[in-house]
Amino acid sequence: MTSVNDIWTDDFYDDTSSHAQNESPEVKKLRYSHSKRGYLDGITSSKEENLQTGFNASFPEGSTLGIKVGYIIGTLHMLSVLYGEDDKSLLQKNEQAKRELGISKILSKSEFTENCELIASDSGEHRIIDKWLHTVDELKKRYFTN
Amino acid sequence: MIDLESVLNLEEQFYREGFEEGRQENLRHNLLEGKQYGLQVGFQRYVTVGLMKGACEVILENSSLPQLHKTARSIIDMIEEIPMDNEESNVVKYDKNLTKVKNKFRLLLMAYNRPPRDKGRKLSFEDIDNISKTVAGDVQGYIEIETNTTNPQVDFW
Repeated sequence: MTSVNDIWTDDFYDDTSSHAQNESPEVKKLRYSHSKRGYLDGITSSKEENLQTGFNASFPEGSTLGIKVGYIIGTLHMLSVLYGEDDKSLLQKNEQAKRELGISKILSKSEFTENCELIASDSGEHRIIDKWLHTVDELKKRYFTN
Repeated sequence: MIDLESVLNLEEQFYREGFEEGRQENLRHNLLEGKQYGLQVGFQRYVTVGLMKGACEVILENSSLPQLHKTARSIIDMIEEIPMDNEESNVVKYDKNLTKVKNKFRLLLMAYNRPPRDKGRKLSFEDIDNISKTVAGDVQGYIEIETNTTNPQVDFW
């Protein structure tokens, strides 16, 4: 969020702005002081309005990501439980998945736009999840295709 | 020279312009913050569901025992019915369905762990809980937002 100090710098209403070009120094001063007061009141007036709207809007995305991450790790974990003694690479993959699919990686800012929209892969998935879904598919084929 | 009335009108106008700008700025900020919380809480609330689904699908593919098959299939079907949004009625449904799914999953684990197993080592529900905590993080605290749950969480990225 832009801070008040960022907004109310001397060049906020600089001489090239449409307002300032035709304004006298007195009017500029008037604009500065009253707009600033209005801005601060405006900031506090809306308080937490919109917080719930944002929460509800992105909750389904979060739950979809959560269930997919769980599915990947649950599959890998169960495969490790069943075949891990004979296939140590399964154990490694299981541990690697837990690191790469943790909440801080999946919800990392680098995976979202500045408006909090997911930057999806070509197939419309979260990029890290996409990679692991392929891994899980391959492993399931290896173990369960007769 | 500007007369007094004009000055007062200008003050009012500038105040209103500033007010609207501040209000819009805060609304944008709140929307973004709400979205971040929504992603986080949604993620944290569904990881365990996914873990059970993944484990069930492997059991379904792997096990030759009809009882395990039937229970795993039933759990997967129940998971498909769990709503994914934060609508009040759906959150109630989520809580109810999740309890049922967890109970059924515990039964599945009991049957799976009972000797003689086909192969592999034991799996406990505690394992699933621990994995969930590792991946999704622990409960960090409360936020003011209405999450329709007993465990709203914060500490975002």
